[in-house]
Formats: sequence, C-alpha cells, structure tokens
Amino acid sequence: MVGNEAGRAGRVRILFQPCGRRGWVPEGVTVLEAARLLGVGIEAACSGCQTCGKCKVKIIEGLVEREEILSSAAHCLAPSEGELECLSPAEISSGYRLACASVVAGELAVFVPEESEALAQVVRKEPRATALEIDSAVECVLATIPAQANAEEALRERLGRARVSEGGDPGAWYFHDSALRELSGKLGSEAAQASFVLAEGAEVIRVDLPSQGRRRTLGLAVDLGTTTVVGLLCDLQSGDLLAHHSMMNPQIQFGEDVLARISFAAGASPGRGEPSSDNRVLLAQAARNALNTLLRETCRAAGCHPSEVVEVTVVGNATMLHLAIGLDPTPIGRTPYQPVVTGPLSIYADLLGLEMLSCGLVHFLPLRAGYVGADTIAGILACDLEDRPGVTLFVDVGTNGEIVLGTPSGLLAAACATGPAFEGAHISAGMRAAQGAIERVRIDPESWEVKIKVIGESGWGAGEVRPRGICGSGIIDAVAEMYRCGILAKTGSFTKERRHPRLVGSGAERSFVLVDEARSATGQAIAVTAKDVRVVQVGKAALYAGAKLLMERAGVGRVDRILLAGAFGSYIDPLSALRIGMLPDCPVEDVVAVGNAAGEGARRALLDRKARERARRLRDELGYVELTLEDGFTRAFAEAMHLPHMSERFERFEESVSRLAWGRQAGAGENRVARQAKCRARGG
Amino acid sequence: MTASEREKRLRALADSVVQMDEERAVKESELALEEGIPAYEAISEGLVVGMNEAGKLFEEEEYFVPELLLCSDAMYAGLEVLRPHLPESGEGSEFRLVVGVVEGDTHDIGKNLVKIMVEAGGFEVYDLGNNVPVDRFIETACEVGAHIIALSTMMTTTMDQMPALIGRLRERGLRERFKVLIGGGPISMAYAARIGADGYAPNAARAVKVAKSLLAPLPPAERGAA
Repeated sequence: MVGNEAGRAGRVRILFQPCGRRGWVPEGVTVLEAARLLGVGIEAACSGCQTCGKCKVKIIEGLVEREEILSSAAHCLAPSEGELECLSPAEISSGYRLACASVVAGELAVFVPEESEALAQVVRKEPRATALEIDSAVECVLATIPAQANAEEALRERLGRARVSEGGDPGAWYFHDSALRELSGKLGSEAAQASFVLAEGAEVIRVDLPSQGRRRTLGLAVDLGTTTVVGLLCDLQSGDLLAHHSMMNPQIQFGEDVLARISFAAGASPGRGEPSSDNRVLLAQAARNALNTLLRETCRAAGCHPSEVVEVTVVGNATMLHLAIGLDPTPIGRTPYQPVVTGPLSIYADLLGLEMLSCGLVHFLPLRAGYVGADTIAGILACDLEDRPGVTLFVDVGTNGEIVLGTPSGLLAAACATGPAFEGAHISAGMRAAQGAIERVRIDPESWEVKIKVIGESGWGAGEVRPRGICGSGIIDAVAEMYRCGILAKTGSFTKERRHPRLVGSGAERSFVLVDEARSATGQAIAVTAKDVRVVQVGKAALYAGAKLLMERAGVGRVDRILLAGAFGSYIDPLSALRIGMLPDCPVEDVVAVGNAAGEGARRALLDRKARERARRLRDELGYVELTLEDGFTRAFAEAMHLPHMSERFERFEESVSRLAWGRQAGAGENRVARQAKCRARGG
Repeated sequence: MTASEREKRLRALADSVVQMDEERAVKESELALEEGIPAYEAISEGLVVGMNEAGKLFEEEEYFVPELLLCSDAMYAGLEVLRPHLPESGEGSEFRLVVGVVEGDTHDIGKNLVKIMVEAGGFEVYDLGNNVPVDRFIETACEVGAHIIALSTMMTTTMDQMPALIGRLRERGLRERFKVLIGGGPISMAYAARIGADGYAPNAARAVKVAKSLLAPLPPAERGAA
C-alpha cells in the first residue's frame, strides 16, 4: 500500500471527501471514530448503534491520485447483519456503508454525502446578562483561625472558635467532612487567616488558606432543556458572567420529546429491544454527563478549574428535572400529569457525580405542575412578571409551549400541546435551526416570488449557503406569507384560483415550492405541503386557544404586551406570529423577544437568594389551568385553527402594521432595531 | 313530488352540511318533512351524504378540523329537526361502537371527530369521554352489545393501554366478540399489527371506513346480536 510507511505501523491513511480532511488513524477504529479523530462531522443519531442509518458514507474505489491513496471497499471489514439492514441493495452495491459499523483495515477514501454530514445546531439560546443585585446563597466569609489550643483540640473545634468578618457563629456552623479533610495537614498550629465558603448561611463547604493561592467561588446556572442544554458560568461574588456553553441534550438518543423519554424511562422502548429497568439510569447518566460537559467547557473557556464551582442551579421542565435527579417521571406522562416532587431540591454534587466541588450543592428550582416546570418559573423570575403593570402574556415556545398571563391580580399558567412543529419537526422539509435551515421567508404578493434567508448566510438571499430544509421560524414565516399572498385561504387550504409554477401537486399532495431542486443543498425541492400547513395550524391554535382561555379566566379582554421566550421565541418574526393568529391581538411593537428567559432565571437564582424565595412562592401561588379539562376547549382550539382565527379580529395588530408601513417609508427597516433597543431597555 | 324534486331536496340537505350552514340545514330539514320525504331518508340520503362528503374533503386536505366541526354542527341541527319524525321502531342502529380516550390521557379532540364521523356513518355511538379505564370500555361494550371498541390516545406514554385492553379481552374470553379499532397521534399501522388490534385509522374520516370494513365479513345473523 502506498501510504504504509515505516514508523506508522498499525496506522493507515484516510481521506474524507468532499471536505478533503485527511490523516493517519489507527487500524481497527470505525470510520465514524476516524472521522471524529480528524474533526469531520458525520451524523450519528443513534450514537453508533447501527440502527438509525444516518451515517451512510461511500467508500471510494481506486486510487485517489493527488492524495496517493489507494482506496478499496476491501479495506473495510465486511459489513455485519445490522449494518446491511440499514442499507438498500442499491446502496450496498454502490459501496455505501455505515460509518459507525465499518472498521478501518487499510487505506481509505471516504465520501460523506450531504445528508450524512453532521451540522452543529445553531443553539439559539444566547445569554442576555442583566445587572443584578448579588446576594448569593454561597458567600465567602473572612475568618481568623486561632492557634491550636492544645495538642488534643480537634480541627472542627478550633475552626468553631474562629472570628469571622461578618456576623455569624462558626461554632454553630456545620463544617462539611470534605472541607475538613482537604484542610487537615495544611493548617499549621499557629493562628491563620482564612476564607470560609459558607453555603445557605449554615454549612462551610470549603476553607481557603492564603497558601492555596486565589481560589474563586463560581457558580453554574443551567437550563436543562429537552433539546438544548445551556450553562452560564458566573462569579458568585461579582456576579460576572464568565463563560457560557450550549449543547444538544444527549438524552435525545433515547427519545426526541418529553413523552418519548418518559416512555423510555418506564422501560417501554418500542424498537429498542427488550425493556430494561436501567433505562432511568441511562437517562440520569446522560443528563449528568451533560452537566459535566457544561462544567468542563465553561471552566475551560474562563480559564478556571471545575473544582472552583461551588454551586449549581438547574431549571428545566418537570420531566428533565425528574430524569436528572433520578426520579420516576411516569406520573407526568398521564393525567393528572403530576410530578413526583415539586421541589425545590438541593443535592450534594458528589451524589450526582458532578465534577465540581464535591460538597457543593446542586439546586433544582421548584415546579408548578407536570407541564409548568422550573423553566417557566425561571422565566417569570427573569421577566419580573409579578411586578409588571397591566396585562403581560409570557410565551415560552420550545418543544412544548408554556404560557403565563400576568395581571395585577396574579399570575395564571397553562401548558399548550403545540407539538414539535415550531422546532421544525413533523414538517416535511423540517429541520432544526442549523446551518442551511431557511429561517426567514418573504413572498411577493403579486408574482409569488420567494425570498429566503438561510442560517449561515450573511444576509437575505446572499447565497453562500445552500438551503437544506426549513426550521421553526421559517415555517411560521412561510405560512404567514402564503396566507398574506392568498396562496392559502383562511381555512389553511391551498387556493384554486390561480395556477403558478410554484404550486405543485394536487389534493392532499399539494405544495408550494420555496426552493427548487437546482438550488437546494439536497437536490430535492424544499416545499411547504398541505400537511405542513395543518401541523402549523394545530400548533398555533393550541397556543392561541390556551392564551385566550387564560385571559377569559383572568377576566381581561386584551394584553398590553407579549414576551416571547425560548430558543424559538427569540427568532420568530412577531409579525408572522400575529399574522397567522398564534398570539392574541397585540400591536406588533409590543411583542418582544426576551431571549433564554429560563437560563436567565437560573442565573438569578444562582446569584440572588431572593429569587429562590420568589420561585418557592410561585410554586404555591402561580395559578394553573389544565386546558384539556376545560369545557369548550375543543371548540376554542378548532376555531383558532383558522388563519388567523375563525371569528376574532386582530384590530390592534392590523393598525400597528399600517403604522409600521408608514414608518418604513420614512426610515426603512429601522423599526426592528428600535424595537430591540426598546426591549433591551425594558429587560434591563 | 317528482324524483328529481326529491333528489334536489336531498342534495340541498347534503349541501347545507358540506357548506357548514347550520340555519340552512334546519330549514331544509323542515322543508323535506313538509314535502313528505321520510325523516329516515332525509337523514341517510341527505345529511349523512353531506357529512361523508365533508370527510372526503378532510382526507384531501381541503377541509380541516374546524370545517369538520362546523359541518357536524349543521348535521346535528338538521338531525334535531328530523329525529322526532323517525318511526318508533325502538331499534337503534344495527352497528354499535364504543369510543373513548384511554386511561391517562385527556386529549379528546381526535376522539370527538371520530365520534362525529362514525355517527354519520350509521353507527350507534357510545362515547365514554377521556381517561377511560380498560374495564370501563369492556363493561360498556358488553352492556350495549357493541361490535367495535375504538380507542384513541395522543400520548406515547399511554399507548400501552391499547395492548392492555386487548389482553384483558383475551383474559375474559371476549376477544372474539369485539373488534378493536385504534388511532391517535403516536399510533401507526405497524403498532396496531404488533399489538394485535383489528384496525387502525390515521384520521376520523378513515375511522368510519375502517369500522365498516371490520364488520363487513360478519354474517348477517350475527349482526344485531347483543
């Protein structure tokens, strides 16, 4: 073989196309492992279990001249049965293999087809740090440790005699074993200055001596989402945001949504072989791995050590928190959808296997109900919903939709089964918000020409990135524009009054082509089908009907403002959301994105104990309405499926749109900027 | 009244349903009675025809949930006028179906649509609502002499109630007595096959077709048997 030079024994050359990465890898690794070694992204949804078939690659036959690589299918060990099941006969005969199953036994050139390329999801949960009053549950107390009284005096007693800077009686504090263990041997018999890291005003979890150098007291605020997990690393004394990191929730491999994970946890795992009582352990482990990754990555970025992290706050929906803690989530999966524990809960880090200060606490914020979780409560904290004048509707659209209506007389919450449409799932060309996803759509009302904005592109139609699918904000835009331009009727059905090259198929197969085969990255047209429109109609109606029902309950006829939280809420165009009737009538400029409110709420709870107190109060005082049990919900839901609604008018929205149109003639496009500035001012 | 006049009147009844016109359905039903069309025919050849056409439009993605509900409003408004004029046979429909959402689940919009379509399809429907325990389905089915038990769920977490019901029927030696029809968000044909259900319907319009096909091979003698 050409490349098998001396000194490279047991290693072979491998080339990946079309990216052109190449390098030496040990014989015996899989192609997927080789790809990872060389930094080539290959999709592997099942994590190498040979079940998902997403990691198809093609082994190139023959000599790749410029690279001097002689590649052959024979340089991979023969495929297993599991692998063959994932491939069609045509694929097998043309040299396709699963990257996770093919073992490298010689020189290879591997072609990674477009559909197998792993794309880093654009994690749309950027932190928006606002200035806070710092009153962390963990404080650093300066202490003077007296000299050892006599040889018999135990360390614990001696520490209890310390004089401390700010009130408090060290004699009454609990000194955690691991803090004592770390200190013993380091502390001489003479008097010493030290800093006690005191948790909840009662427990010393670390004792810092000047000899140990500067050790920081850091905290990590975590939003443990069903799809995305975000960590914010903060300095507990200054409150500074030092680093943040986002990643996909590794539990996705066990089920895409909350219900699938509950089923998996219960051992029912259709298509995954025999049920296992260990499934809950697997899920808990995955959640904890994610927390550890967040700890590692944020600390790496901030140049500090994970052991300097002394506290973690975690928010998430009820199921995510149950799974992370190791509680049985089954009751959340059936009426009355009750969590086992509503919390709040504080658990020592070492019990959860977290790589931080072992006796630091992991604080899980409380839940209100099975589908109104700590993430919703955190969102309320972040937006100060209790204190806002007038009527505010808070909408968190993620994998599920949670809404909270804030009025001067209190808060009311509900969960809406919006389905996964807003995350791009169950849409024929749907995808997550990743490179190549269409995120914005505009259609010309006369010509029906389509303008798109693709994630990764510098601007509208810039064309550097070929579109490969459509994400949540894109599908909302598309449906809103199709309705505005008369392509869709009020009922959501396609118009029959006009023929157009973009309008293809008939009956249930009708669809509107956004991007033709020639311009898409996949070689297949990207279109909005009749079914896609229905999925959006159902999702938006669930949200709208829920909001209206809460308004009815609270006795308010209109909302003064709408806060859109969550990954999707930040990117959705309020104009489109209002146009299709996803939100109750409201002037478009009063619909504002508040970013990752759940993460921000977790940060507040990390830095300010009063926020935790508020969270506890919200657990008890937040009103909750179970929509599916409400009389007349079916009807309200169905009526809201029309675009924008069967009977309701959106006068304040319409009026604001015409006002905006006037403004646009004066200063084009600046409204959005102004709106964002206004929103920042309000948020901070 | 000529055949074509009768035809026209029945067509108008059907149209009032397809066009979701509740007032017109009432008016046309009254007219039909005045003109001597038997109530039974006005229902089965007028209103029900309209509802079935609505179901077809639903399958073609032309109509959606709101339209189907409005059509059913019109159908029920017409039925209210016509029903008092049905002959007192004491005999209900020859087909009886028990429908409900399985225990643990409270999402019942899909089930409500199935009920409407199946009722329009000539079944006598016993709607048990949502969050219905397995044994209640079976007891009701036995009591009313149902032919079909139709189960719905929207959640993967409560799907297991479906095989549970089938298992319970077997245990009680009743499996052969009822056909089990299933549907709902997470349900598929493959799932139905795996758990040994008799039929699966992806939507309400199809549910009525599948329900009828399940009973088709039944010998006439067994049909009304309770």
